[in-house]
This record gives sequence, C-alpha cells and structure tokens, in this order.
Amino acid sequence: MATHPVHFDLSPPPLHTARLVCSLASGKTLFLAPGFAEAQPGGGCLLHGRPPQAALLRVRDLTVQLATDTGAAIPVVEAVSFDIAAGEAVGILGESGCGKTTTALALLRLLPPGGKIVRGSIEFAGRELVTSGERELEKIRGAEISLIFQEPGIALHPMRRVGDQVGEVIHAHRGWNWKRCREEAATALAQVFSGEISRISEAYPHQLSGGQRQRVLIAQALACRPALVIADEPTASLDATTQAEILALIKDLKLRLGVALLLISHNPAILAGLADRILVMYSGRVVEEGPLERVYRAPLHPYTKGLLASMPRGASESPAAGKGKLPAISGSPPDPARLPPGCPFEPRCPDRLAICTTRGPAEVQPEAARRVWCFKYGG
Amino acid sequence: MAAEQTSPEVASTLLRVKGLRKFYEQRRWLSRRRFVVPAVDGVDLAIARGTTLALVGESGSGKSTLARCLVRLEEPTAGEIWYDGKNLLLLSRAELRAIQAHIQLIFQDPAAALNPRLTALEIVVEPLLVQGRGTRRERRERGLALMEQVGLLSQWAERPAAEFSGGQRQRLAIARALALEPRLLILDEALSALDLSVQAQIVNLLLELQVSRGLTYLYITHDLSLVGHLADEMAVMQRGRIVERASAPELLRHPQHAHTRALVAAVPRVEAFTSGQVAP
Amino acid sequence: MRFLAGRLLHGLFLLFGVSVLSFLFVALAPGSFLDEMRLSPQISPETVGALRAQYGLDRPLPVRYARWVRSVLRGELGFSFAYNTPAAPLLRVRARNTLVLTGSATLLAWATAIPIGVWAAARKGRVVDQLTTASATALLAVPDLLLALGLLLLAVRTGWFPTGGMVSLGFEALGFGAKVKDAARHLTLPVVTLVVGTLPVLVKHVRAALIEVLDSAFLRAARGHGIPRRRLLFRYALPAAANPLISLFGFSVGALLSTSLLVEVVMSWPGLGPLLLEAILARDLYLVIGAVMFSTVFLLAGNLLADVLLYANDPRIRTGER
Repeated sequence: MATHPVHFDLSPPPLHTARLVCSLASGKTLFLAPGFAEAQPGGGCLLHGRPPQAALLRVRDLTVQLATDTGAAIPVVEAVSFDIAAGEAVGILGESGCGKTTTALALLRLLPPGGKIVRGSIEFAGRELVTSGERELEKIRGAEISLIFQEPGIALHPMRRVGDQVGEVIHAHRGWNWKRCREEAATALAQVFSGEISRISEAYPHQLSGGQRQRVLIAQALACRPALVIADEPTASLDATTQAEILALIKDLKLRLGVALLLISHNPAILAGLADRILVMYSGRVVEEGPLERVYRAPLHPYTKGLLASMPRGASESPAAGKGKLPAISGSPPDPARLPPGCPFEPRCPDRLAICTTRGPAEVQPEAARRVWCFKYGG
Repeated sequence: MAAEQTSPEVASTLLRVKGLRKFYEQRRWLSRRRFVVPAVDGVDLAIARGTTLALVGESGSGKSTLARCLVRLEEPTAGEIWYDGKNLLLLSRAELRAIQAHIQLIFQDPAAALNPRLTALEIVVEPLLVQGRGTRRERRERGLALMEQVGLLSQWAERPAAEFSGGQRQRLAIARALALEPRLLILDEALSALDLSVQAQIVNLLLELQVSRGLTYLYITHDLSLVGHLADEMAVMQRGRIVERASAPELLRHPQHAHTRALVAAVPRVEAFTSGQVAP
Repeated sequence: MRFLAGRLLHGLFLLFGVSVLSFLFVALAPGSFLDEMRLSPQISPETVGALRAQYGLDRPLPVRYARWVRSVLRGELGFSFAYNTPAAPLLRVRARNTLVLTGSATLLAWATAIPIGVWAAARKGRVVDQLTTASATALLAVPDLLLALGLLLLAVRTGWFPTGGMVSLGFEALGFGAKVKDAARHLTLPVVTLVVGTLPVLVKHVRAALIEVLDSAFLRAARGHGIPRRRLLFRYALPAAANPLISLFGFSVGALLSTSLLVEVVMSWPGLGPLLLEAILARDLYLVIGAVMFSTVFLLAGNLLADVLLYANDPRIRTGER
C-alpha cells in the first residue's frame, strides 16, 4: 500500500510536547508530535516509532560510581551513551544490578549520598545537566523531566491527601495560588482515572490500592506536561490485571500527549508494547541497542539472546506447550566491586572468544541504527 | 472423625483440603459490631504425589492465607486438611511436629526470609538443629551436600547471607527447605521477586528436584507466565473461593471462568512487534 | 470523638488508680502527723488521742479513703494538718505556679529543639551536625541538680537574676509592664535549668526522626518532582517525622514535671515541689496525695494532648478506626 508521507518541519524543534493538529480528509483530527506521523490516503495516520528529530536528551559516556560503607567506590554505570528524541519511547532492559535505575537517577542528578557522576555529559534541550546547579535542576525535575519511582506504596507521602500531592508538584513549578493548583491537579488526575475523581483526590495513599497509587504517580509525573517521562519499573509489585491496566494507560498517554518516554524494566514483555527502541544493559554497560522489534526478533548480543530465551513461554506469542525446562543463562552477574578486566558477560557467555578476557568490547554498528558491544561483531 | 483415612484413591493424593475456611474477625473497642472477613471461604483441593498444582489469584484472593493454614502458621476456622492420609487438624503435638518436616514453605522475599547475619551453612542446617537430627559433623556434611544440590558453591558456606544475591538467597531458602527431606514444598510467590534469568534457573532447579526427589509442589502466584512451565494442574482463586480448576495446559489455552480469562489476558505478551498502528 | 471519649475514660481510670495507690503508700508509710506531738512531753496522750479522732486518723483505711473522695468531690481536696485548712486553696496556688514553670519550659524546650534538630539533620555528617551531637551528649551528662546550683551561683555572683521566689516583695505595687518584667526575671533561671536539662534528649530525637524521614522514598520522589528544599523540609519531612516526636512530647511532659519538682525546691520556686517535700516530711497525708494527684493530672493532660496531636497528624491513625 502506497503511503504519502507528510512531514512537519519545525525548526528549531520545540522543547515541550508539540501539539500539531492534523486535519485529515476523513475529517478526523489528531494531535501529533513532530515527525511522528505519516498521513495515509483515505484518512488515518501511520505513526512512526522513530521521528527523525534532533535529540531531546543526549547522554554521552555517563559513568557513575557509588560509595560503599567502607568508602570504596564501585562503578555502577560505565560509559553509557544514548539519545532520546522528542516523542520517542526508549526502553532500558536489564536485570538487578545492571545500573538501569542508577542511570535514571543520574539523569536528574538524584543519586543517593555517596553517588557521583565521575564523567560524561547529559545534555537536555541544549543544557548540560551534569554541571547544572541545584536550583536549575529543581526547575527541570517534574516540569521538563519527570521520574516515576519504582514502588507506588512508598513513593507518596503517607499523611497528605493525594490531590494535594499532585497539586504540590504544580505549585512548585507554576507558582499559581493553591486553588488553581488544586483544579489543575484534578485535571491531571482525570487523565489517569476514569469516573469520579473527587473521592480519589481526597483520599490518603493508604486508602488506595496499588494500582490506584501508581496512577497517582503517573498523574504527578504528567501534571506539568514534561517533555520526557522516566518510568522505573512502573508495574513492579502490582497484580497481573492491574499491571495490564497500567501498561495500557501508559501507552494511551504516550500516544495522546506525545511525551518522550524512558521506560525501565527487567521484563522484555513489558517493554514490548511501549518502547520503540531499546537499550540492553548488563553490569553497568549498554551491551546492545536498536529498534525494539529488530532486537527481539534477531538479538545480537549473547546476553540479549539468553535473556529473551529465558522468558517464560506463557508470555510469548504461543501459550505454554507444557511443563518443562526453560533455557537459562548459567551463572550469576558479576560483583561490581570485583569486575574482571574483559567483557563482564564473558564468564557466562556461550560464544566467548579468547579476546573477550583481555579488554571490554568497543561499540560496533553491524546494521543501520543498531549498536552492539561484542567481539563477535568486531570491536 | 477418625484421624486416619486410607483408601486406594487416597494413596496417590498427597494433600487434600476439604471445605477449608479461615475467617478474620475485627472488633471495634466498645462496640457491638463485628466485621467478619472471610479470607478463605470453603476451599477444596487435592494434589497428587509428585505433581505440581498452581494456585493462581490476585492479592486479596486468600491464596497466601491458605498456604499459611496448610503449614499451621494460621489455624483454620473450619475444614479438613489431609496429608498422606492423616488429618492434620486432629494430630497431637508430637505427631504434628513429625509431619511438619514434610511440608515446607518458601516465601517471596528471599531477603526477608533469611537471617542476614547467619552464614549460608548455618541457614541450611538450622532445621536439622531445631529438630535435633544428627551430630554436628553429620549436619555439616548434609548442609554442604544440599548447597551443592541447589547450585551453590561449597566455598560460600561461611559467607553471611547478606552477601548473596536475590537468586542465590532463594536457592539457600530451597536448600534449607530440603534439609528435612520434605515431600511437599509450598512456593508462595517464590519466583515473583526474581529477575528473568534467575527465575529460569530456579525453575529448572525446581523441576530437577521434583524428578530426582519425587517432590510435590504447590505453586502460589498471581503471575501466570510461569505456570505453564511448572504446573500439571491449575486452580484459580478469587475472594476466598476456587472458581475454576483443570489441568494447566487446558486452563491456559481455554479458560472458561471470567476471572481466569482476565488473568490469562493480563499476562504481558511480546506482541508481533508492531509499535502503534492506529486504524482509520 | 469516640477516640477522645475513650482516652478521657482511660485517664479517669488512671487517676483513680493513682489515688488509691498513693493513698495506700502514704497511709501505710511508718509515722504519722501526730508523731512529733506524741513525743513532746507537754502534750498529753489524751489530747493526741482526741486529735487523732478529730482528724479521722483512727479510722480504717477504706473509710478514710472514702472520706477523702467525698472531700474531693466537695472541692476541698482533703484537709491539711500542718496548715490547718482545707488542702484545696494551697494546692491550687502551688499547682498553678508549677504549671507556669513546666509549661514555659516545655514550650521553650521544644521551640529550641526543633529548629536545632532540623538544622543538624539537614546537614547530617557535616561539622555542624557533629558539633551539635557532641554538645548534646556533653550536656546530657550534666546532672540537673548541678545545673540548678550552678545557675544559682551565677545569680548570686552577678546579681542579674533573683535567687528565688516567683515575684519580688512589693510586686503588687508595680505597674503592669514592671510586673511582667519582674515575673520574667524570676522565671528565667528555673526555666533555663529545665530547658537545658531536657534539650539534649529532644534534639537528638528530633534529629534522628528527621534523618530517618529524609531517607525515605516519598521524600526522594518529592525531590524528584522538583519540590524546593525548604518546602520539602517543612511540609514533607517534618509532618512525617512528627509521629515519634509527638509521642516523645507526651513523655517529655512527664519528665519535665519530675525534674521541675526538684528544681523548684532548689530554686525556691513556690510550686508543688517544695509543698510536696514539706508535706512528706510532716506526714501531712492529704496534702501529699493532693499534690501527687495534681501532678498526675498534668501528666495525663500532656499525654492526652499528645494523643490528640497524633490523631490529628496521622490520617492512618484516624482511618484506622474504621
């Protein structure tokens, strides 16, 4: 089927979610992020996963260390580089200890005491965040980049009403009077809850279910219409059905509002419906990057292959064929305090080569728009 | 009611639960009113020897309460629990103690279930110590053997539990559970807190142990994704009752009850890799 | 409301219990008011006997207790042998004075402890914090008595503050402003003693409670939303840290009351302390019990206030009622 691409050229690219109105022949009106859409004959729109725009967030060589109780510095994130374009959804796939949460915290300079960015740059909309002062960062957090924390149960203040807490975020950035902030908070809550929200707004966190709390966190994150939302394991500790609801909600919001999304998860299935591009992290490093479908269909790095293979079959396309073993990667992730000199995955790698113990692999681009850090492909 | 019951049909059933009820009562001080919360409201179950039954339900469905009743961490309000032909609720203390070695519980959070200050070996031999079995040397040997069986290196025996990763701790918990040679392992969300690759390793370990030791599993979870790999039979629990029960592959492929269908539909799937097609 | 009623009922039961116990202790203690008289050769045994009957000291204990309760309900609070009047007016005046002292000390102590504790917690680990903790610990080691005597010494040497009493002679003649100034000068030393005595404990607890809260997830999440630092501290951290501090408040009222009795004696503040001491030495039964009861009432009131504050502060306690 032939498509007639319609490009919306905006320069300079807007920082915040662009609200382009696309009126189609069919009479439908859609809100689109720039470069995100292609009009199709007969009405309708084909939304692209990757808009060809200048990067909203540009991370280069980010390296973070955490200090232990003994004072030793442990490398937790090592030379991570990636871009996120406006309206794009990027996923970070990795297991515990791979540095994904630390990366997210580092982006907003929210590292715990003892955490330090030792080198690298984080460029957001032209500003360098690594050298920004606390005042500047306060303005960016929640308003231009939002973070949805991992556990909804403890991420809300236990003694304040939920509506107030959303209002606080608005108040901090807009400086309106309280009444207006509360109204705006109600609007933000209405985006994530269906039905009567006054009851929710007046409730305290302990009166809400896990799923409801997660929705509140999402409302807080979107209240000031940020350009980028970072969601760290947004469905951990939720029931299966609630998880599905929240994922659907995030998907819907992403399409409607056109925010850029950085989604962090250890479960490839969760990223599948949401992210356009993914980064696979292992032991503090990015080991593979590419468009989601390409990486899932044809993973390059042995870790990615192993991880995708160990997904329970109940989560893949065909239902479980019956009781039986799962292909599993042998061994455990290395201790970050005692990393071997070569590739960190080498001890567990089924495809290891002699060179893999000598030094860490360099970035290789085996195909367009895909990067991998593995000696199998060069480097 | 006789404490024992034997019949050929029963001989192959390791655990049978009949009409189990567990109610919680809440009272306000100085008030007449009582709120009765039925956590488990009439549950019938049977698990055949050497097989795995998956008990699936959301939070609040009563599945964890049921697990606790089975190991007598909670006392059921009503009903019967038959283990290996004996009614658990009618046994004397001494008899119960002997049986309790046969039924072991593994919890969701490996960090909370293990004393972080004890060494790995101390944790694994603790049940032997409590039940007063064997000499010190025998216990040590047995502990090391168990650690090896679950895939933990014997040189880690003196390491404190706090230094182990989540997956390794769960292996320790399994080793500890195996110390008393149980027949029935109850896994209460034991895999939910683990990373994918670790989950796969533990699943494989559990399957191996089931074959080599003839273990029976009760796998309790809210997440259906692993049920197909582990379970022979599956029962779905909602609000304290079992709403559907069948063989696992059957139930996963053709769920009948609305709640089961919802649970099956909720499993996140890696779709056929389309990112956002909007139909006209 | 039900909560409050429950607490009040609880308090009343407690008062009853305290009254019975203190009555028992004092009445059963060896010696009685009339002992001195008995020893004196000038007073005949018959007089003593008559006095005993008159004061009701020859009746059995439960009867005496019942009579005392009736006297309480009449508002007389028993009878003071030493002063030869009903106990109530004596007790009321002294109780008021103790309340003034303890109340001011509590307010001042907390008003000082909270800012210092917050300040130290916000700069945890830095020099300022370490200094605060060190000085708090050092101060904790100083006994209250020593502190009181030290301040008295200061007063004597420098003459900046009066060395005792609540008001100067000729207080009545002073104008309003002068009256206030005079009362304040007299109040200063005892209050300072009490405050300096309790401050270290309070500061340490405020600091600890705040540090724990500052580490919590919801605070980090709020920080992640760009909530400015000052607002984070006062609108997020402090209310969350308030729970253990409110409980401490209830406890601090009790502690301050007991310390104040001692300080009153040393610094000649006309409160319940000196009265109690006197009455015990003289075996003035009903005065002793009266003083104890007043102290208990203050203590219970402080705890009731703490309960109410806790209820008001934490919605989880409020809705936990359901």
